[in-house]
Amino acid sequence: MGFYNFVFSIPFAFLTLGYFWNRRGHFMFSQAVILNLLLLVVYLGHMITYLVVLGSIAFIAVIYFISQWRSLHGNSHQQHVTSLSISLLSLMPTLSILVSYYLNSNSPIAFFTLIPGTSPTYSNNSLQCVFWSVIKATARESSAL
Amino acid sequence: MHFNFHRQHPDWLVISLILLYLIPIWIFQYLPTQDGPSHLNNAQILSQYTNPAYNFQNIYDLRLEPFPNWLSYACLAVLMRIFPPLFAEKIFLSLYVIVFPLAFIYFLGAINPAKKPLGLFSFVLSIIISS
Repeated sequence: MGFYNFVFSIPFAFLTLGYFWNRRGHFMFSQAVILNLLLLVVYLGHMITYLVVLGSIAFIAVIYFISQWRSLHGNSHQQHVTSLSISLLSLMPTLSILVSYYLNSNSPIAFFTLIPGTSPTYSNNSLQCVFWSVIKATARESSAL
Repeated sequence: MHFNFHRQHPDWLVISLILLYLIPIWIFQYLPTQDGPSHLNNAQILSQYTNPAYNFQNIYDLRLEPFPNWLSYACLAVLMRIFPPLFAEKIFLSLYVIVFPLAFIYFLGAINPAKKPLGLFSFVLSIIISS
């Protein structure tokens, strides 16, 4: 069930990275809130995309911090450290959702599970019946290849 | 060498390509996707879970945990409350076609505004990713 989600998570990944890149040197709490909302959308899209974005943001934040460190003076240093700290801390909320989900859940990623002893039955002309026919036909074709 | 995106690749070119990409989604009744029906099926269950006419509550246990892969189902389920499933899928994929190049151009503009013309490659990229 990942294809549509993966595909749709990619534009949000670009938006998130672009948003962070524009604000990487002066990252504040209000921007961290927006970044977290964007990260949440990417996380709810696809885990791989989310992890790539998360790693990219951490990498950009650290590299930018190192590259700017020597050229800064006085109060700029403190502001720079604050910006890096907020950048890295802002990655924690969505990361904690991911970690907590995977530590506490043994079941596969699915919105619903079949109640034991039941099976879905659909009337012949229902939409669900059409869906199931297509799904089964696709599975048959895939296994035949 | 510096490009002026708006002068050399005006907005209408991006808009025209987006419209061009939307044509195949809207002129055919069915979209040639491998697991599109599966996505619609899941979104339909999510959308009509509380509807007694479908009897889904007696067959499935709903899990509302914040795991990845929610995005398309949440969007499709909301759209399917308003539109028929196949129409909802077309709207959803149209959003992808619209948002992808705009997000890519925004990303390039953030990195280096002079590289915005490369945003036109997003139209190739969006097809490669979704095929």
